[in-house]
Amino acid sequence: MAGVTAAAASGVTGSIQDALKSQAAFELQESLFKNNEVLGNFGTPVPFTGGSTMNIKHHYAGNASVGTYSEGDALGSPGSQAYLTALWPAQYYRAQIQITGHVIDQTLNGSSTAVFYNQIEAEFTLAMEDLIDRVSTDCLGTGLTAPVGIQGIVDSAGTIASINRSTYSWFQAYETAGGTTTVAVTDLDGAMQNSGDADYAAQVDQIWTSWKQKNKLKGALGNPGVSNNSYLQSPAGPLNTSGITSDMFYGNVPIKPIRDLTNSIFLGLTMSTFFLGRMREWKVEELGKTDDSTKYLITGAWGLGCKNPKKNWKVTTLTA
Amino acid sequence: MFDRSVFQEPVAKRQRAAVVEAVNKAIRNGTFTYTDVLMADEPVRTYALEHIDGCTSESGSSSQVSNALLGDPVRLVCLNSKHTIKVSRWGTRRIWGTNEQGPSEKIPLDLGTDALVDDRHPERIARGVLRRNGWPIRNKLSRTANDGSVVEWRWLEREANEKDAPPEVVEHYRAIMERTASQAPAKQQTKSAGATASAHP
Repeated sequence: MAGVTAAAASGVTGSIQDALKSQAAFELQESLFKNNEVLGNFGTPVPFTGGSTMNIKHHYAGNASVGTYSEGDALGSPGSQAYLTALWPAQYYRAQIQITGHVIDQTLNGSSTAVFYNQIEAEFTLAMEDLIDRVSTDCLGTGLTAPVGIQGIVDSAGTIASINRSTYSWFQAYETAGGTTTVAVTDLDGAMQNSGDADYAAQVDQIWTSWKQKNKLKGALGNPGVSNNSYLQSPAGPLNTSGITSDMFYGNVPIKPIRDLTNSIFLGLTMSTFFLGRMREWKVEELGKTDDSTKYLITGAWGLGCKNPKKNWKVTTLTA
Repeated sequence: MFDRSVFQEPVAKRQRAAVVEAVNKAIRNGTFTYTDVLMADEPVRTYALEHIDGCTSESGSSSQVSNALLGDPVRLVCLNSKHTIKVSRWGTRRIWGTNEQGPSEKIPLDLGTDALVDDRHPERIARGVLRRNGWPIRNKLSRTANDGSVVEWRWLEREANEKDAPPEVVEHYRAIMERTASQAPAKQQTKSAGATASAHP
């Protein structure tokens, strides 16, 4: 075919290929899942106050001399309070980047006249997202030592923050295995009942679980179209199949599906007890030249901690 | 196990020493039970567990100073014969369809109605069961808000034979004796001092 053609390859007379700017859109689309939904739950990061650990003083015993008395009773022995310090660690995180001189030249230092996206800048911003993803998944993990994870905190055994919970029983979270391998509302009832009263005295204001367990819990409550379903569709309202994207509550406590959380547990959390310790804020440092390249180091140090693990509960072993 | 004077000792150092003496005496006499310790008010409970586990917190933070005194299995029995002792331990599962191990998670373990339960560091499963579900530990710690369902056999056996034993203690003891009469002798943990396979020396 003669004339101007779209099909002809680059360099062929009449081809439009050399005139086209690009067949790619002018943006970078993120197709890699990176978890950035965790850290914000723990509030504003708390700076470390010196030393390798964030130290939290615990008061665990009251004055034993407290009592009633009648007129003329002799004085008893005085009492006192008892304290112990928990030592929460931080974990250092890093990422390294190296940019060659050729890259700087050929991308015009990331200029939009040369590149669809600023790849040099993206290396830094995306590495930061990779780091946040790593800190987030660590915070959701089972670590008892740095990096400490929320599943390690909300547990009844093992040593965490230098406190052995078998010895210091007031540092144990309430933990129970599910009645069966499939979650039932009674599992949450039992955990809430036991942790709510003395001596755990939890004030759970969020329940965390996986998307899978949220689905299972919805199934335990009843699905539309299933016989013996306990839910009735309002005939006056719009039809709604009720999905797991709907907000779900235990009483007035929201049940939050958390991506990357182990899919066999429910965590009842008193959110005010958690803190994210900041040993080192994220910082980018130029390490200097290596041949024609420049190296950079991104570092930060963070640690999840809990001021009172006893005020949280965990239902485990929900494998179905 | 603890005299009233132990709880009223005003000086922490002397109170700690009194707790250590009481625990050692109970161990020597073969009368030590975790139930007594876990039902004790703080800080006596913590001082006793520190001594048993070889820890101290005199400096303000916890440190290991010696080996643990105890750690042998403890016989635990469900009060209700239809219940079982369910615990979970950290472990990994194979990712279904692969040879790779998945992330660490709690693996369920059903110990049955009547079991010798491991109590070694760091999990100390028996102590954990008693802390959460022990009877009457849970009843006391929750100020009667909640009920325990698992009893430490040695404690029940001792208490049921006391002159002033509460009727429910005697009743539970009798019921458990009846239903376990046919079990193997290995499970019949006695309170004889120095029994090497027992939970307590």
